Amino acid sequence: MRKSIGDNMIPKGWSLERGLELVKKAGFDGIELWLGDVPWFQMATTDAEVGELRRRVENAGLVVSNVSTGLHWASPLSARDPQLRAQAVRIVERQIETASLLGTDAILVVAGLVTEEIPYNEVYQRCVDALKSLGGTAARAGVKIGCENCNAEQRFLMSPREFRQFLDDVNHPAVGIHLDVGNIHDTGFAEQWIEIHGPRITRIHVKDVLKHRGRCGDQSVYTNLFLGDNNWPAIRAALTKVGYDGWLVAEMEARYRYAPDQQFHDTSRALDRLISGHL
Amino acid sequence: MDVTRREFIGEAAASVAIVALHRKSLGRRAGRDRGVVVLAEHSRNPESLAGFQAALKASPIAGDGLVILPAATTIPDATVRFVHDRLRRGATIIFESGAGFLSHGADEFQRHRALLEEAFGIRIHSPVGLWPGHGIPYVEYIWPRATLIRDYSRVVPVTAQRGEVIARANGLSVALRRRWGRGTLIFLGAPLGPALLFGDAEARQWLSHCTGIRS
Repeated sequence: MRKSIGDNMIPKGWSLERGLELVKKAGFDGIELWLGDVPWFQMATTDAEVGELRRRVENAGLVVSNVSTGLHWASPLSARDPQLRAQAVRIVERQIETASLLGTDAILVVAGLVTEEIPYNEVYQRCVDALKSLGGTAARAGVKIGCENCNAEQRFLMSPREFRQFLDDVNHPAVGIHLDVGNIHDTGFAEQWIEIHGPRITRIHVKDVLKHRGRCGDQSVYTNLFLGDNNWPAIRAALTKVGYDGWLVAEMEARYRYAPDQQFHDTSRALDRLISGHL
Repeated sequence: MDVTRREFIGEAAASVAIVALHRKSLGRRAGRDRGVVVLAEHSRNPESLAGFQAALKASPIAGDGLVILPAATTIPDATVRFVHDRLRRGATIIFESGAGFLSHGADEFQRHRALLEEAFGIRIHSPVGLWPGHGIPYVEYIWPRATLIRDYSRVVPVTAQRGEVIARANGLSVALRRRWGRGTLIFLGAPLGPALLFGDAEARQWLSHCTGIRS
C-alpha cells in the first residue's frame, strides 16, 4: 500500500512547492489533489496548467494518488435544479479529464445529498442515472469513479449493504466506492465495509473517529489516527482479507493548533504502522 | 398487455396516426379511443415525463382512453383540437402544468395561462413556492381518494370556474377536474410525475384510482 495526503491539508498561506516538500519529507508517496478547494487547482485551471501542476508534483518526488473535490456539496448530482445537476456532471467530467492529465486513475465523488426538501428516493434515482452515464465517460478515460461514503453528512447510503445495492444498481465497472473509514461514525464498523466492498474500493480515506462524540458545535467527531474508536487491527486485517493494496489517503479534519507540519510527520508514521500491521 | 403507449409526434396528422395505431394494437375488442397517449414533446420536465411513463409501463388500462400532458405549458392548436376530440369521445385527460418548472419564463407562463383559460376554461395564478415552510408541504388530494403527495417544486394555484377542486396545498387550490363531453379533464397544478418516478406509492395509487390503470 502507498501513502498519500490531501493538498488541502497544506497550511493556509503556504505555497504548493513548500507543501509538496513537506509531504515528501514526511514520507508520503503521493498527494491527493482537491479540485476547487485549493488555489492551484480550480475548475478554471486550464489543461496546460494542470500539466504544469503534474510536473510540480513529480518534481517534488511525488505522484498524484487521486483527484477529489468538495464542489459536490454545493452542486450535487442529486440536485433538483437541472442546471445545478448539469454543473455537477461537468465537475465530475473535469475530475475525469484532470485525472488523466495528472496520471492517476481514480476520482472521488460525493454522489448525493439528502435534504429535508429533496428526499431519499429522488437522490437515489438521480445518482444512479447520472453515474451510469458518467461511468462510461470514466471508463473511456481509464479512470474509476469512487463514490465516497459520507454517511452522516449526506444522510445517504448509510449501511454497507445499502451502498452495495446502490453500486449494483449503477452496475458499471468504472464506478466503485471511495471508502472513508472515519465517516462511518457509530453506524457500523469500517472493517465490515471493507469486507463487503473489497474489489470495488477505489481508494481509502484514513482518519480516526470519536464515535461517542457525534458532530456537535465546533467539536469535530474526527481525530488523528489511533486516537479514536476505529478498530485499526480489524481494519488492517480486513484490508489483507480483501487484498487491498492501493492508496491510503490521509484526510484529517482536526488540525494541529501549533506546528502544523508535525501533523504530516505523525500521520505518515501512523500510516507506516498501519501498513506494517504492528498495532 | 392491452395497453398502448405512444408519444405524440407532431400535429393533427400524427394524432390520427396515433389513434390508428391504438386500434391496430388493441384489435376489435378495443374501442376506438382506448389506450394511452403521452404527449411527450410538450413536456418541460424530463423527470415528470419519465414518471408517467414509468407508471404506465406494462400497466393495463380500463375505461375510455387516457391522454397525459406531463409538465406542459403551451401546446399547439392541433394538439388542443386532438385533446378536445378525445374528451368528447370519453377519454380522461391529465394536464400537468409545467409552470412550476419555469425558472425564467414570464412570457411562457402568460401563454400557458392564456391557453388554459381559452382552450379549457381553467384560470391559473403565478406559481407559488412552498419551501421552506413549517414541516413538509404535502399536496392533499381529496379525489378520487384522499392522498398526500409531497410537493415537488412550486405549485400553480387554480380557480375553479366549472368543475371541482380535487387537491389543495397550504390552503391553495392546486388541482381540479371537470366533465367535458363524455370525458374528464384533470388539471394538476402540482407536479405528480416526479413523485411517480421516484417511487411514491401513494402517487401511483392515486393515478391508478384516477385513470383505471391497475398499478
